[in-house]
Amino acid sequence: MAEPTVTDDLTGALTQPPLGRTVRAVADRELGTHLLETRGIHWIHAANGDPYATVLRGQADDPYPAYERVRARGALSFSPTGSWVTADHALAASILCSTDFGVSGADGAPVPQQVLSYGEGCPLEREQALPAAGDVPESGQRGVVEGIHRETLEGLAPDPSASYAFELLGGFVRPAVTAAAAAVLGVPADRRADFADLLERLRPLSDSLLAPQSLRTVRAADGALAELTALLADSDDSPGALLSALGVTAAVQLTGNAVLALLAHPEQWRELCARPGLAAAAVEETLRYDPPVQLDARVVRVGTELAGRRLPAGAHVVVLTAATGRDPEVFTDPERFDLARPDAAAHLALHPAGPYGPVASLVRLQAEVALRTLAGRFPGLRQAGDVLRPRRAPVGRGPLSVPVSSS
Amino acid sequence: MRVLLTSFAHHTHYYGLVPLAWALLAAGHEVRVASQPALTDTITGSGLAAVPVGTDHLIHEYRVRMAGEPRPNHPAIAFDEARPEPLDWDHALGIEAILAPYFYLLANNDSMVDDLVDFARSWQPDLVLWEPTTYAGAVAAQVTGAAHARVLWGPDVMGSARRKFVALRDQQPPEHREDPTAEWLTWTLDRYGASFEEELLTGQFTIDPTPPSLRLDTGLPTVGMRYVPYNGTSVVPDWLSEPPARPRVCLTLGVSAREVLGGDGVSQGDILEALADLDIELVATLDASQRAEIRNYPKHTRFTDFVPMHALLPSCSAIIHHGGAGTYATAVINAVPQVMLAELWDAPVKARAVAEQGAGFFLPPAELTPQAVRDAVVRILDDPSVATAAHRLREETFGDPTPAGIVPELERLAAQHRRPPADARH
Repeated sequence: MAEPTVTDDLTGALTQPPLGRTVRAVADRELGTHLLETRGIHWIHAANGDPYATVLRGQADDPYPAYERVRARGALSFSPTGSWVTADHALAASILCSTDFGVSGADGAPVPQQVLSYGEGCPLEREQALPAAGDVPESGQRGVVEGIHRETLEGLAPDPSASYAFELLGGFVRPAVTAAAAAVLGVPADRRADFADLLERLRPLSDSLLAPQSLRTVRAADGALAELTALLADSDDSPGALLSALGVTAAVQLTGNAVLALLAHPEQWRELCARPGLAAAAVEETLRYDPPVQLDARVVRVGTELAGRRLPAGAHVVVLTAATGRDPEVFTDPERFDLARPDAAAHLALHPAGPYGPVASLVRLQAEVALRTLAGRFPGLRQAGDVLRPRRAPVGRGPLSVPVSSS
Repeated sequence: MRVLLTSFAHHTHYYGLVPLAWALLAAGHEVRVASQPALTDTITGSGLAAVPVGTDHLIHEYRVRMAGEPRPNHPAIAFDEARPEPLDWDHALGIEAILAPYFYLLANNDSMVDDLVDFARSWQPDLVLWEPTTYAGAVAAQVTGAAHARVLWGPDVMGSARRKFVALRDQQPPEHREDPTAEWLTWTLDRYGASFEEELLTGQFTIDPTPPSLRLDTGLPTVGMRYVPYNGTSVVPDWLSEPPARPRVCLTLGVSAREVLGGDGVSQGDILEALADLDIELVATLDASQRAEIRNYPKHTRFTDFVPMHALLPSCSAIIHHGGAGTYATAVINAVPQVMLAELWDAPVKARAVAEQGAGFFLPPAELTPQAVRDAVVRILDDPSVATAAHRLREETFGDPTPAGIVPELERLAAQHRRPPADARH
């Protein structure tokens, strides 16, 4: 496919005018039309050869070839969708660490490249203050998480010597991570089914900010956000609790991506089974190799210079975090998944300054415990069928289902 | 019975409804034609009662804002790549993902749909006949319980593509399914307390003016109708009374292509030059500004801004055109061999079908050269088998009943499909 002429002229870009109001304030006809028009624009740009539009379109199981097409265009390129895009690790690190860039615009309002806004109550639309006590989970959390993961797996497979075939996400990862988060957050026992249901409706939340979902999906997420906020209102730190709950999706995706990478490299899976202490390394290598949050969008706060370009305030810059983890300037053999990689932690995933920063350690803990628990009980685990991946999910990456068996 | 006809405001899309509206009127039925206000004069000019609904659509404004995107020949919305239907799910979804917001929703803008439903609730039609992208007609029928049918302007590329889309959609895991057009109609019908069903996209039945051998097989219930041309209000020019002294060839790259789509995609001057040494009488529909750019052309050439095709084509030996619905169908019923420079929408599907019948030639954009046009014209003039095939298509067309002839069938089908209003059906 021919690459389109590279332009950085935003006035010539084909973009959708912003809604200007939160999802809740917009009638179905207007919101639905906006979603269809935006998705249509992404299809048009993708068909014309724009790799970032291909990413936003989210029709491919494997987005990494599109990331490489972005990388081939240089450190910073302009997409006709109206966003600047980078796959360059060094440039990305400078963007993510700089106070010149924010999760939202200087006035807190969403920029036009953000498809919609859920408003004040959506933690993914703004910076999160880092917890004052540092980003280390209490040791008590580990015990709770370990106990629930173990119980979930034992409930699924009571006899350690028997053969099992099950669906990894629905059978173990999702219920274990969700129940552990519910316990950590003190969700009452009689509300835990609701908690799980709300998180399922919120799975596309991060995607919906950049890639238009169906009207029904957006309405369901908006309603679920309000219900989850109410459910967690009694928590000591309810904004933090809401973010921790949203971290469940990232933890489930991170665990799923880690298991898929390990099962695709059976010698590494065996290594993990032999040395369960490698679970933390497996989590870091997965964050580099196939992170659960694939990209981080930022807004220029004050006009700035970037990769030799002058970017005005309000410009939208998208860091393809997943692609920076495979930057050959930084990582040797970036396409290889390797538990022994010494510099895996140099990845930029779940960046401290991003929306998931404050809950990154809980996300890591959940994934690490899940891997350790799974490897301990099922050293003979293998993939037993096709992976199902979502569509329209350019931000949150993780399998929806993975049939596995163990004997 | 009461029959409501509707087309979004685009005259050539509307023209296909007119003879059938006359037939219903002449049979004693009450007839109304609803469209956006911009079509009102065109409707009244056709002798029918207009019902202006909503505000004018913004298709043209959108195309300007979008810098020509989506181009009608965009690869993502191609209906024909040597095939009548999209091949895989991504292709099928891409067509819908672009056409729904950038055509269907624009042609059926909210205020137009709202007013049409209001009018139908008040007037209570028994039957709604709709141009095949004017889904507002199906919505109004669904709300009021009227029977409804599509009136096609060519081979049923919409019905065919939709059937393939649905089959591909249903093969996807539920998590991957997406249906933009159904989503739009779902929230639209929700406003009126009615619900979406697949039948709204293809009609309870379909009136097809295409001769059977050029038709696409969609498996949908179809009423064949002989095409009767209506090209708008027209005055027959004097010169048409004289029989041509040499073979008459018409060159017209389409009123719609010139007025709305902008740019013809091929240099008409090059084509005229390639034909310059042929001993023909060329009738070329070019306006003054286009004519100013022409240098070399056949000695016996008549330039004209507009000539009604139904008056011109009976005297023609060949026609070179872009595949517009009215031109194509009028050529078929007059047994005129066609050279089709077809690239937009359903035109390649029609051109391929005509070529397969031996009644003309299909020059897709990739094969379009002035020499190829000349070769096709020469072949038509020299080889009587092309004219013979064109006559066979004409005879076939005449095997279908006229618009007047299908009125009793429409009465029967309307009675069969008529239902109570949506709010009384639960």
